[in-house]
Formats: sequence, C-alpha cells, structure tokens
Amino acid sequence: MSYYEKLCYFDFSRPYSLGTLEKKRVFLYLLNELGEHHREKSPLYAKIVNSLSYPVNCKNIEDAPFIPVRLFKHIDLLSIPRNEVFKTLTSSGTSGQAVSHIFLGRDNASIQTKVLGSIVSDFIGKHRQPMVVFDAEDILKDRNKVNARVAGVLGFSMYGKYHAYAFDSSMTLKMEYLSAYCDQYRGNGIYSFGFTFVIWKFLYQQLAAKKIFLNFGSNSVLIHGGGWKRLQEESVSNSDFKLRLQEITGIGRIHNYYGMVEQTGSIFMECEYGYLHSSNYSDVIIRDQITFQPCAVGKQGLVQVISLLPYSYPGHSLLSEDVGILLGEDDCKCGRMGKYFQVLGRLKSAEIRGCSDVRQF
Amino acid sequence: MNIEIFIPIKSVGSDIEAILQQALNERQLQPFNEALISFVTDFSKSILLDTKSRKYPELVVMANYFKAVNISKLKREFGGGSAYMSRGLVFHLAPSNLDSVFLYSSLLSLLCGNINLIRISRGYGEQVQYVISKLAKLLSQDHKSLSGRFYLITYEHDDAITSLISKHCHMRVVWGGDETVKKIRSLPLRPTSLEVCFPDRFSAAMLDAEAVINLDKLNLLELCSRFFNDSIWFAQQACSSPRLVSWIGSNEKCAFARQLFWNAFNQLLPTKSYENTPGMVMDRYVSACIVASETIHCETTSLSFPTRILLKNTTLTSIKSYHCGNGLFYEQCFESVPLFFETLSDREQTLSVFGFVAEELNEYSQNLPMRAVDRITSIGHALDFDFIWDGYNLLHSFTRQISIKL
Repeated sequence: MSYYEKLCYFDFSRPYSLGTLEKKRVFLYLLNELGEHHREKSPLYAKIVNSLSYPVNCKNIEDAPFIPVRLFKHIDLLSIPRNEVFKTLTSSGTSGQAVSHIFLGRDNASIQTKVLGSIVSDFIGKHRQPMVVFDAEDILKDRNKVNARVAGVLGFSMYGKYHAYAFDSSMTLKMEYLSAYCDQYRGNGIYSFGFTFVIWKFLYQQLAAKKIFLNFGSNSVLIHGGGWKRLQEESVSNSDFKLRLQEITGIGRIHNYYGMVEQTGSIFMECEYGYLHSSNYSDVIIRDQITFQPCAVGKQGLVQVISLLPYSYPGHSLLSEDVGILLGEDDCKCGRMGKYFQVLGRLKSAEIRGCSDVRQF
Repeated sequence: MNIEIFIPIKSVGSDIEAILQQALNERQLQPFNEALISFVTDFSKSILLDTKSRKYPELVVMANYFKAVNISKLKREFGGGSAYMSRGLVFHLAPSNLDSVFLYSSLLSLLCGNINLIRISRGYGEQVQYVISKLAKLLSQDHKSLSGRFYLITYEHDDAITSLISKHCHMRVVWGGDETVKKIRSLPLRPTSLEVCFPDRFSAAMLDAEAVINLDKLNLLELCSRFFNDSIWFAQQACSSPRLVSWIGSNEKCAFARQLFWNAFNQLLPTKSYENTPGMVMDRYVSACIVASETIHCETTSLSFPTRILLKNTTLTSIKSYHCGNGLFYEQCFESVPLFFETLSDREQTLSVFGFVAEELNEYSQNLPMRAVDRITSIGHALDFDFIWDGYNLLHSFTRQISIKL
C-alpha cells in the first residue's frame, strides 16, 4: 500500500474527528513512515537530521526531528527524482530576499487539494458557492510562476463557482461589478478568499477612503491568510481586521488561516471562537525559543508545524519563525478535535552587528 | 534631498551642497597638529570621565585608545615630517549596525589633518546618540575652531547624494558588507580620490593542541576567558571575532585538547553575561542545518550555546557565508600550521593564536595563499583596534607624501 493510500484511511468529510489518543496512534505511525521515506530518498535531509541526533523511530510526536522552515530558502530538498517534479512552489518573498523552493510530485499536489478541500468544506459547506477572489483579475495569467499568492488563489478557488475577481490588473476595486455580483448572490451567501494584506490594503482601504458599504450579506464567508507582518506594522490586530471589515462589507463570518507554502493544503483554520485548529492531517507543537523543548499549554514559544502531506519533499516537520501559544487539545468550544492555538507574531530576528551590514542569508 | 545633520549642531540646514562648500573651504592642517590632538584627547576624556559611559564598554575601549599617551605613541609611529600632508576631504560610510569602528577611522583621519564627512545609517541607537552629544558639545564649545572639520550626517540610501559627495571628496572610506562595498564602488569618485574599503571578512583562532593540553586548570580557564572576550562580545559579529577554531596537532591530541578546552569554556559560561536571544538561537540552528548538508561537515558536536560544528580539514568555501556569528564555532584539526594556512583565502582577516611564537608564524606566513590573512594576534586581542587594519597602515592611507627633491 502506498503512503497516500494509507492517508486515505482518514475520513475526508470529517477533518477534525480524531481525539488525542487515536490521533497519536495513527499520526505517529504515518509520521514515522514519512520520516523514514525522507531519510531514505533525500540524502541531504538524512545528513541534516542525522547531524541533529534524533531517534529514527519516535515514540512521541514531540520526538520527531524538525528542520527550520528557512532551510528551504537555501537548500533544494526533495525526496523524489527531479524529473518527477510536477510543480515547484516558491514563497512570495519581498525583493532581495531568498525564496523557498518546494518541489511537488503529482500525488503530493493532488493530496494537497483534497485535504484543503476537506478543511475548507468544514467551514463553508460541501456545496460550491459563488465566489469572490480578492485579488487582481490577471493573477493567474502567468502559470509559470507559481508563488505562494498564486498557489493560494488557485487552491482556494476550487471550492467556489462563478468566480469574480475583485480588482483589475492595477488593483483598483471593480466597484460596480462587485456590487452587482453581491446583489445577485448575497441571498444564499458568497464565499470569498484573499490574502490578509491584500484585503486590507486594497479592499478595506479603498472602501474606507470612499466611505462605501459593499454589501456581501450576512450569509457570506471570507477566508483569508498569508501573515500579519504588514498589518502589524500598521497595528491592525485580527479582531480589528474582522470588525472593520464586517462594518464595511457585512460579511457574516471571517476566518483567518495559518499556513505556509512549505505545507500547502494542511492549513490551520481559525474557528468561530478565534482559535487556530490543527486537523487530522496536521499537528502543532509550541517550543521554547531557547531550548526548543516542548511548551505546556499557555506558554509562548516557537510554532512547530507538522503535516502528513509532504511526501515529495521533506517538509513534514518544520520549525517556523512564528511565536505562538497552545490553548488546549480536543476541548475547544467549537467542537473540533485536535490542538488549538494562537499565533502571536514573528520571532524577533537577531541583530546584525559589527562591521558587516548585509545579512548573508 | 533628505539629509539630517547631527554635527555641526548649528548647520546650514539640510543642504548637502552648502556642507560640501563649507568643508572644501577649510584649510589643510598638519597631521597631529596640536589643536587636533587636544580635541581628540578631550573627546576621550569626556567619555572616560563620564560614569554614564560604563553602559557602553566598546566606547570605553575606544576612548582608551585615544588617550593622550596613546596619541603620542601614534604620533611617533607616524613619524611624518613636513612632507606628509592630509588628503583633504574624507568621506566615511559607516556600517549600518555600527559599533565604534567608524569612530576609530574618522578620528584617525581627523588627526591626520583631514576634513571628515561621515554618513551613519538612519537606524542608529542610543550609543551613537551618546557619542554625537559628546562630539557636538566639544565642537561647539572648547574646540569651535575645528567645527568645520567634522560633519556627521545621515540619509536614506540615495545614490544621488552619495555620488555628489563622492564627486567632491578626496578619499572615500567604506565600511560595510560585500554588497555595500560593491554598490558604493560603482559610484564614481573624483579622479584624484583614493578609496579604502573594509568588506566582509572571516577570522579564526588557531591553537596548538599540545600547548592547550599542557596548561594547568587556572591557565586554561584564563585562556578560555580571553577567547570568550574575542568571540562572544558583539555577538561574534566583529570582522575579527573568531568564527573558526583551528586545532594544530595529531588527531589524538586535537581531540583531547578540544575536550579540555570546551569543558573549561562551558564551565566558565555561567560566570559570564552574554546574549543568547531567540533570534540568535534560530540563526545558529539554520546555519547548523545548512552546514550539515555540505560535504565538508563532519559532526555537529553541540547545538546549544555555543554551537560547535566539526569540519573536515579542507578549504571552507561557501559555508563561510553561512556563518551567522551569534555563538557558532566551526572547528577543524590540522597536523601542522602550513596545512591549515594552505586552506586560507583573501576572506581571512585576523588569526588569533595560542601556543605559537612570532618567529615561527613569521616563517609560515611567507607561504600563505595570495592576499590571505591581515593580522596575527594573541587570543584575547582579536578585537583590539590597531592603526594597521585590513592590511592598510591607516596613518599612511589618511595622508599623502609630497616629494620635494631639490
């Protein structure tokens, strides 16, 4: 049985079904198999984890080796032959910064879609709904460049129909078009998606400047993600974002998600109570920022993300540079099983001192 | 053009052309002219006599360097005579995360009789603010006559401004990373100008394994303490902080010496205060992972503080640039000094050594690869500033010699 066939043991219609004990059993089994596969097929990955002296077979999820997510910006890590790479994803780094390269095999790409669909349906329902994409109408034109933003739009678009793009190619809001679209579909609700900073900068700020209410209706739902860095610079918190966007669009439910191009598909969605959830396909461990030891509930630390999806590249267990806090497991008021947590911000990067002023990597 | 001028305080506004005009109208002064010496020693005193300066140990070290007695020594070293003249207007570009190093070069340049225009970066901290207040006060009160010889400004990276100053200055001094140096070099200088650049460098410690083994406990701890100062101050990011520890001796001796040395070092750590922020921990972890993927990697000996990675005894190539400082040591073992020297390149600046004598290293250094190594010093002195830096005698670089033969 292939690895992905085993993964299909999961009930895709219930992505938050596994409680602690059952999850540990299934998850650990698959995680160990995944780790073994990557050690075997990626000599670089094997060299790296061997240097970190971790056990080969883990008795606890916490014992599994984790590599820093930044590594994908410096080393090409893949566990399939290069000629089987179906798609290469890159992170959307700002100019001058190195970008991550994620190598996807065909199976890996399709399981990502399947799992993302499973998770998203839990929030927007199983039927495709009319969809507004908060991005430029020509974002998908250049299919050769699959950066995180394009991948996100592509991925989330699959669960909607009659797609409407909110902005023209210069990111001007297509006001009349959108308001006609809303008039037509708001009754049964509209599904919308966009990157957090795009929505803030181009939707919210254009609407606010013109003092316009764009009525999506309370049956509508928005899913957004991609990080808070730029909004934090403007001191906009998640709750500000939600409140102000609801004021100006009337969208009933707004869900942030936490995810990264290195683990596309198994995203961590924000529930109705404002907490991020790991699904059956993912797990999260908060680690002390100095010792990397696992932190108990309520203690801040670095967010380690684990996903069962990455098979063509060893991105299944990654130490992010985000600081978060674990809030509990299996007992969120929303009823979803699994760990729930919050992301509080980015790790403060080390100061560059001395005579050199350019960070080498 | 958006320029902020810190010194002089009562400046002509934010007009760089006016500043240049004023600077270029100043008269040349003889190197080590009395007025210059008196200003620099007063600046040194103003820091050493101020209890607030204890917050900034690197400034205290700098101030000590410019004490009257040391300046007399410098003057003697310089020799000089009437045939040595200043260069004129010197444009200093300080590193963005500047430590005191820009003060060394700009004060030496001032002592050599030059007019100095210094660009510091926008993100300066309280230590720089402190320095500015001291300099500004002296230049507006007791040393008013020199106020036209020292300008401290900042502006966003702007090629137009840098080019304009470069067109007028007689010498450009660039401290910065390789990228900065490359960038600034592309901006033309006045044809008669000279340029001195201080790009990214890499430094190492070299220890004789047997000499370390022969140390008694107390002396070993003392060596570790000196090594700590060289490497852990400034988060190991000074260009002369050792990032590689090279052991010389047989395999067995190197292994034993390493064990003794690092045990003592770890024993010392709890008694020292040092920075180990989450950002530093992450940077080390990333470096350790990248290096582990390279063929030169032998073993990751320790992942905590300090992180230690043992490498094969071949030339360090790209992995030099993956070294983030922050308490990370590469280690290598060599049978002999020449075998180690063979692996060095023009990136190498300081070798801080233990267990060797000058004559021996003098001889070995004749066979160093082209442009490798600018400085060999004892462990404990890696961070000491010297007027001979990166292969330049700065007292000579900051002056020119007029040939008068009659």
